[in-house]
Amino acid sequence: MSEKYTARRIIMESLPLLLAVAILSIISGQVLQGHETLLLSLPVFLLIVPAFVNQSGDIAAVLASRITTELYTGSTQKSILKSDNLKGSVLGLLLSSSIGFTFLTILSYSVSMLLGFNTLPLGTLWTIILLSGVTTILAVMAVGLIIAVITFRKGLDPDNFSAPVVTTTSDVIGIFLLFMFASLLGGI
Amino acid sequence: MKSVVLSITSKVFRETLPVVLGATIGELLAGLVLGGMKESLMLLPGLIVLIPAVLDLRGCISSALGSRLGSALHLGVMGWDKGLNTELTSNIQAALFLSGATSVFVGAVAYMVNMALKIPTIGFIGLVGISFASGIMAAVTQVTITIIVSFTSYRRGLDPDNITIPAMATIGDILGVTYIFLVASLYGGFLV
Repeated sequence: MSEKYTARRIIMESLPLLLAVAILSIISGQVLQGHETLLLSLPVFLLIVPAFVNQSGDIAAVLASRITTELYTGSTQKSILKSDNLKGSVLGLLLSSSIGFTFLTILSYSVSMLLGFNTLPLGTLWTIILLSGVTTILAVMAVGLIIAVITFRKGLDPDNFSAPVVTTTSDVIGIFLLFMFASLLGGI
Repeated sequence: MKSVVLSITSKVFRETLPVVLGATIGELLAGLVLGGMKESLMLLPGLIVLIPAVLDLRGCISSALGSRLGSALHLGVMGWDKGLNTELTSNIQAALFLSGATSVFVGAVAYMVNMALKIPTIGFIGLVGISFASGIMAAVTQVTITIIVSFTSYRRGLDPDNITIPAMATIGDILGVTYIFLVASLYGGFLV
């Protein structure tokens, strides 16, 4: 087991992924600047986007982290996909994130009102955030689960891959789905 | 069978909810505070290209560390009682090395992107230096807090897998921007 934790192994497994993330996020930073006009037309989204993306990534990363632990401790006799831990974790995370997204809606709506920002009606905003949030989480959870299982089977340490990929992809998928639902439901 | 699933659901829900709500408040506050800092950073041209990548990398290194510590605590190879054993020091060394190496890389790539897109920028050494110095400082702080959060939550009977990553994501964003702001301020001399 101690072989899992040598600095050399962690570095060799992590470095290629991190360098790819560095390049991708510099490029996507340039691309996202184009969306700023859309954001500025409805400033409530300036408040929502960072917290929304953060929460989606966190929730999916908790699942990734729990699955990698499950793979190592092997507390399930069945396939990980049919395990009680996976079902219970997904359910619990969907519950807490639904409340989290509702909380985010109320907070950002109230702050927008206080600061006199343009915003959508509360109910519309809540529907947009909840639908795009839950869809993002389910999509990114699937990505994290697939990566955890594949890297573990290949003899790599899934802890070095699953959670980092999840937190990064949730940014892209989350922003894409948020704007998709916003234009569908909010008429932006 | 069903009761096992439900007890896991309940534990995950109870342990993640407070962290998720806290992170939401933290992120909204950070958004308001960091907005002001980012405006100051505009004074050093070319630096703004760096910030999203620096924050993403901080998140990646920290969530991988949190995930490894979670597995290690459950496997019983780390913990407050085990102290600074080789497993823990290897993780610390790796996280610090990865932070330093990727910070240099991000600084260099940001410089090349600025040149390619003809964005006005401070010099190569300045950009790489600010990225490296702030990256190492943020990493030392973040690794320390990550270890404390995961070890302490485990000792208190909480599951570190539920807590460490969400708690560290918001803290990491705040640390990342704050240290870039501090180092850039010293470099540009607009703080003093």
